[in-house]
Formats: sequence, structure tokens, C-alpha cells
Amino acid sequence: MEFWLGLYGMQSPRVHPRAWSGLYNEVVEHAEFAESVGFDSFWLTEHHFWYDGYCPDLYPVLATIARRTSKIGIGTGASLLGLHDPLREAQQIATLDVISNGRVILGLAPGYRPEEFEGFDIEKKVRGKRFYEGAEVMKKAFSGDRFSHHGEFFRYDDVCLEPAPLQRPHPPMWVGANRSHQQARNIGRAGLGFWEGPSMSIETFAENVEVFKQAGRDAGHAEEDLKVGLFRDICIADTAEEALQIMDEDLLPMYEEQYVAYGYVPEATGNRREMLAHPVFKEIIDASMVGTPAQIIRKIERYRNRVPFDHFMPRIMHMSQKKERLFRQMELFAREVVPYFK
Amino acid sequence: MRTGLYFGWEGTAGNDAQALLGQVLDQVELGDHLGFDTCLFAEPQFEHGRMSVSVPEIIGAVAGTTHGIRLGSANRVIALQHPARVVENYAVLDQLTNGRIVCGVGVGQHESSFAAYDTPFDERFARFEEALDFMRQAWSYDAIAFNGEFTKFPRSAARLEQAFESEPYTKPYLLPWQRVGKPVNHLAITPRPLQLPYPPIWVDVTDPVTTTTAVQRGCAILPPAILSHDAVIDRYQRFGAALADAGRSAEEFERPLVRNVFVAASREAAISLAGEAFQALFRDHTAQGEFADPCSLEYLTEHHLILGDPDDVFDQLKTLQQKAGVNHVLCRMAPPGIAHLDVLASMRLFAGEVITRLRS
Repeated sequence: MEFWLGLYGMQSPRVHPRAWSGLYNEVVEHAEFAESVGFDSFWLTEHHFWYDGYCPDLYPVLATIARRTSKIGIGTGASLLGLHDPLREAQQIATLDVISNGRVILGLAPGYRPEEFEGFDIEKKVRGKRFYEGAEVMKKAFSGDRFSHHGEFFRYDDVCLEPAPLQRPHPPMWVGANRSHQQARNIGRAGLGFWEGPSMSIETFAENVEVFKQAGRDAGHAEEDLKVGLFRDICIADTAEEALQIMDEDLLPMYEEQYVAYGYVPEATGNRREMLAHPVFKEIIDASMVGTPAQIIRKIERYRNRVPFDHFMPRIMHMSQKKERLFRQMELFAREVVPYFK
Repeated sequence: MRTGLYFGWEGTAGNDAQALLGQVLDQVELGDHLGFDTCLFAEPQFEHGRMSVSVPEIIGAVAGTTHGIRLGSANRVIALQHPARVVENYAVLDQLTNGRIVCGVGVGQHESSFAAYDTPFDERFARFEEALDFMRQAWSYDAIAFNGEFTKFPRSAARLEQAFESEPYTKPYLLPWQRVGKPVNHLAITPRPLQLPYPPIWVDVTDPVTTTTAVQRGCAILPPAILSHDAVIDRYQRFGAALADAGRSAEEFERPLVRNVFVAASREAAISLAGEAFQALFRDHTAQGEFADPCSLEYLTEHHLILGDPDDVFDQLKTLQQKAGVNHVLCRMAPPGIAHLDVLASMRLFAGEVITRLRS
């Protein structure tokens, strides 16, 4: 099993305000540390026009990380391809893959927040179609061959991407899934990796993986191309009490501020107690993994016994920017949880 | 006078990208160490004979391994991207480099670039000016609505009668989650750059018309490496005159230019190490229809190239500085065909014997 560490957005939220330049400098140190304790890859996350400065352009930051590390994979979790020109994205990714010596892992997603579609002047309701057409264009561009593409949303004539990515035929491509079966089916049909979000129950996960695999097989994709990844929020500590304290101080404030702001809980009032009792929050909190290394191992095992998967992303970074605490959690996870599964 | 490096990617198509980019990154890191002030990269977009290297990632790569050197694009064709993407990209780079970014932007000269992005070539000036205005407004205000001919930001900006509006102050201030479901009339692009209100914008003046575009917006100009020394002098005369008309002075601005420079122990050595490579570069410019003058070494060394021993190079740059009134020279020192180690040697000589004298 591979372990991906995520997710960094270089945000300065109200609960933990920070100067952006400090965050951009520190994320590189976090990646260096993640490499030193043995994580397989390090992931950033993208959004746009957000009050906390949520990073809108991941590839240059991954380039900085690539130059300061030597073997850790660098991932986008996720690049919002539904908002962008796929040829331009492919160009950035290709250069990044070359200078990182082929370490790019591409997590993609259509995007969902209304402001982003309004900002880029794109119809939100066609985002699914636009996204999969974009992914198709990207694959053509990554081939390094001359290509033309006349689709519903994009049109290119006789272009050839040079440099092409170092990884052949292209860097691994994953798609962030939501709870809908439709999205799971689309990912399977496109033959891309299926990457489950942080807030779904084990039952939803199992159902979606089944739908994804079936759609993939029906479309004729090989079993080994239909990869499954699971993404969970983690608070890990030597004792259960400490882990709960981390949850209380770092994870819950993030949920409170961010998920409400994303519009997951439209009727939210800003009152903490009310919010945490909301069913949406309950599901998110139930899905998170909080405890000692042994407890975390049991929780991951429970998922794995139900649905086989081979990529696990612990999100340890909850925007709290408490460097020592984060490094301690990374170290505990890498030294005590990872070896059990390797 | 400040000094810098410049990378143009001419003639790179078909090369081993990994080896080439590795050498470029090494050269930039050495440049930082040696005390070059700035390093800019051209951003070719599907131009014949050139790799379409993505420059933000090149800058990102050296952001964490260099300390003082300013980094930037030389002629980003901002008309070929959504301008919000341009603004986001430069801002992230500026944060990543601790405020060392220069935004070198240009109209674009190549029909193939516009064809690749399905954008009409004859709209390039209008699109360029609009994108430039967008950048300045997005960075000068908090949340904005931009109602341009080509860009509606956000989409609802089309409702406006005027071209631009910053968000009116309202009371009470709405927290982010209180805006969910409300119409999106204004948007702020974050993060902001570290340099406030925004990083320096240098306008590529391959086409002399863009000198006026730059002056109207208070931007510096960047004469490219392809212009002869005389053409550079001409661009700075236009720049100075247009500024004088507006009651301003070129003295307020950084006045950069790009030159083809190579230094060796003697003039003969410089010519033998680099002469042919620079000639090939200009032949490539000729093949692209960018250059119509002769490509003989005699002609080029008189009008375009600054090759020689450190004294020679210093004298030629000093003369050019006096004639054109520039205060920042970016050296294109590594066209394909010059060995990596020879480029490093030229950089070391330049830093040791030319930079200090140009500063004093």
C-alpha cells in the first residue's frame, strides 16, 4: 500500500491566520520532512477566489518541492481541470514532470464551488462533460504526438506538446470522487484512478468502489488500471486523550470554518455546538480517524477488509500550522502505521 | 547598472528536455550565488523550433534554492490565458519567492501560438491591453467586477454599464458563509502578491507600438534580445518622449534590456566559443520571420552581440548604457550550442570582472 500525505492549500484561515509567504516557505520544509520519514508522496490542494488565499496554482509550488527533495512523489489533490484550459494545464504538468524526474501524480476534479465557475465564466452544469473532455485532451497532449481535437468545449488544431512528460504514456491520473454513483461510473468509464473524499461512510465508499470497478470493466479497462485510493482526516498521538485534544484544537475548528464556508451546511448560523450536531458534520467527523497508532491501524484495516484499496491518504494538515505537532504526527504515522501495511 | 540573465529557448526543440532544463536550473542557481540581480525566461507557446517550456515551474523550481535573484517571465503572452489565471500565477510565484517576481508580459508575435489556443491573432493588441488592465485592477482593489470586451469577471459583470467596478462598501460585512447562495457580483483574487500593490510589470517592446501601451499604464519596457543596439536606443527614446508628454520621466523607471553577451579570456576565445551558436540563433530568428538583417559574424558583432574579454564587454555595455539610458542589462549567455561548462565560465568571468565595475 502507498501512503500519500496531504493536503496543503497554503491557507490563512480566520482560526489560524498566517502570512502567506511564511506558508509557502514552510510547505517545502513539510515536504522535506515527509520525504525523510518515508511517505510515498506529498499533496497540495487547489481552490480559487477564496478569502483565506487557498492556493490557486499548484504546479509552481510542487516545482519548488521537487527541487528540494529527491524521491517523494508530488501530487495535486485536486487540480480543478473543469475550470481550466487542458492544453495549458498539460504544458505546466509536463515541465513539472521533467524537472521532478517523473514524480508527478495527477489528481483531478471538476470543481464544484459556484464562485469558481462564475469567476472563470463557465457554465457549472456542464462541468462533468467539460472535465472528461479536458482529461481526454490532456492525454492526447501528454503523448507528445501532434494532435488535433474538435470537441464540444475545446478545439485544437495540429499542436504538439514539447517537452512531453517524462512518465510514459503520462503521469498517473486520479479523479476525486464525491458521493454520487454517477461520478463513480464516469471515473470507471474513463479508466482513471478513483480517489474517495474524506467524508463518506464505509458503506458509501464500498458501494461507490463497486460501481466504479463495474463501469471500468464494462468499458474494457484492465483491472490494474482501476486503482482505488482512500482519503481520511487523521489525528494521531501516543495516547487517545492527546489525539482527541488535537481533534478538538485543530480538526474541528477547520471543519467549522471551512465546511460551513464551502456551503456544505447552508443553514449554518456560526454557532459551534449547533454546527457539530448537524448531520453533515456528524458524517464527516465519524469518517475521520482519531487515536493512537494501534487504533488508526484498526480503522484502516476495517476499511480494507470491506473494500480492497492500495492508496491511502492521511490528511494530517488541518491548517493549524503547528509545525512541531504536525511533524510529530507525521513521524508517528510513518513509523508506526505505515510499516504495518507495507 | 544592474545585471541579469535571460533564457529564450530558441532552437531547443528536439533536445533532451531533462538535460536542458537541468542545466538551466544549475545556471540560475549559480547566477544567484554570483550576484546576478535578475533572471527572466521567455515563454514560447507552440512556436516553431522552440520547446513550449512552462516557465512558472522553472521559476518555482529555483524559488527554494536561490535567495536574492529576482525571477520572472520575459514576454508572457497574457492574451492566451484567462487573465485571472495570470494574476493567480504571478501572485503565487511572488509569495513563493518572497517577493522576487517580475511580470514580463508581451503581445505575442507568433500566429502559431494563437492558433494553438484557438484565439484570433488579429485581436492580440486589444486582448493584451485588456489583460494588462485586468492585472492592474485585480491587484489594486479588493473584490472587483471587470466588464471587458473579452473577459467578464465574474460572469455577472456583463450587467455593468461601465468597464470596471470595485465592490462597494456595505454594512454589515458578510462573512464567507453568509454569502453562500447569494449572487456573485464581485470577486477577490487571492493570495495577493507579496510586493504591494503588485510586482513590477515590464512590457516587451518587440513591436514599437507597445511602448505607448506601457507608458499609458505606468509600466517599464523590456527591449528583447532580437533588437539591434540602435533599435533599443530608439525604443528608449520613444519611451522617454511619451513619458515627457505625460509630465513624467524615464528616471522614475527601471530601464532594462536584453543583450547577447559572452565573456572569455580574450575576444578571439569568446568568438570561437560562442560566435557560431549566436549566429545559429539569429538564423533561427530569420527562419521564423522575426529577423531580416544579415547573419554574418561581422554584422552581428557590430549590431547585436557583445562578445569579448571582460574589458571589451564592460566598454560595450557602458557605451550602450550611455546611449540608451538603460540601467539593467539581462544577458542571454546560453543559446544552444555553447557547452554548459563554457556558459558557467562566462558567467563567472562576467560576475567577477564586469558586474562590480558596472555597479560602481
